Amino acid sequence: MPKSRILIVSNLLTIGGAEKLIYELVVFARQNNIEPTILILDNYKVEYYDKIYKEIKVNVVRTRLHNIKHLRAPFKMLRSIYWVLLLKFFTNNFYESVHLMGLYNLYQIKALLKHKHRFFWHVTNAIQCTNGTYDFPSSYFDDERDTIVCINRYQINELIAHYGHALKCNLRLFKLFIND
Amino acid sequence: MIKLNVIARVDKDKNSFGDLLYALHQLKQEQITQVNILFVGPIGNESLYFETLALAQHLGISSNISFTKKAILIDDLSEDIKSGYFVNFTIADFMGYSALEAIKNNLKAIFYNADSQYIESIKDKPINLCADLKEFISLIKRLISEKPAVDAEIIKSNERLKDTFRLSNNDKRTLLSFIKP
Repeated sequence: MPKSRILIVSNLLTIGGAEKLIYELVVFARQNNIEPTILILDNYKVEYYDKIYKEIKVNVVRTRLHNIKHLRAPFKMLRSIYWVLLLKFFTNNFYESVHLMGLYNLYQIKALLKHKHRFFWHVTNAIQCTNGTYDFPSSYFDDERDTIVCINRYQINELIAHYGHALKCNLRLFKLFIND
Repeated sequence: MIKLNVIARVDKDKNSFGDLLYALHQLKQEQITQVNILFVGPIGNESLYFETLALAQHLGISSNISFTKKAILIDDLSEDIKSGYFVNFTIADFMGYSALEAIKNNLKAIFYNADSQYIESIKDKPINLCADLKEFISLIKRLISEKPAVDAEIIKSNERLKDTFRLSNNDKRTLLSFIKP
């Protein structure tokens, strides 16, 4: 029986909190015999976690999904086309679930990604936004099949206070964690 | 000398640096000048970095602050830096991974609430969680006047925090339900 797979989407693999959370998700998935693929968008740099994922043989793909016309780098362009098509039409066939790290990355895939189990991990608080208030469009929260995973209870209060009835998606709380 | 290390990218989303500079200024007003802050992290926002430098100069505490200007793993920090206190920004009692890293490495972590709207919601807090600037300044003063006792209390409190990041069996089931719904 083929191994289960998940897709994790983000924009960075540097030393940082959101990146550490990706790492812990990867380790947890592996512990449960689930194979993760990490998709890094709009960033072709080699970063801190690249080396670690190479060592533990986790597939990291760096590509872009928008403005993909790149005739001087046809391989990059083909990879972008492949991923746009995959996200749009085939992710349900390949992945059990898709996890986006950081609502600030949601603009990249919200409209494009068609998957029945989309989890958007919310890793910032309102105080970290300009003027201490969220500036995400309310359309981010309009699909009742989506799940926003908050990492602290204050985020839930902040989202409800700011978006109110516009919040159609599921809100879940899950603490920051480390694996044994 | 009290050495404070702040592990954070210098960027707009982490901007409580001004509070810490103001704390240094307040301490200096009271003739307490033996407190230095090292900001450990890359410069994510150049204008904020220069604003921070300008503010430090204005407050007369330029010689008390320094920046690594790059991310450094805790393992790679010098023993001298590790012997200091690691200031982590929190949202009330919510602590991020930088706090965990400090705690895991048995460093003396202290926490500063970055969002004043939650001051009232911080209850039963350990000695090293400062709800506001006043508490932060008060803790620094205690680090000077009764260092061994406060250090021991900080270490004890951090030891208790380690376990809060571990997954219970129930947590594992929930997380698995996210990954494999």
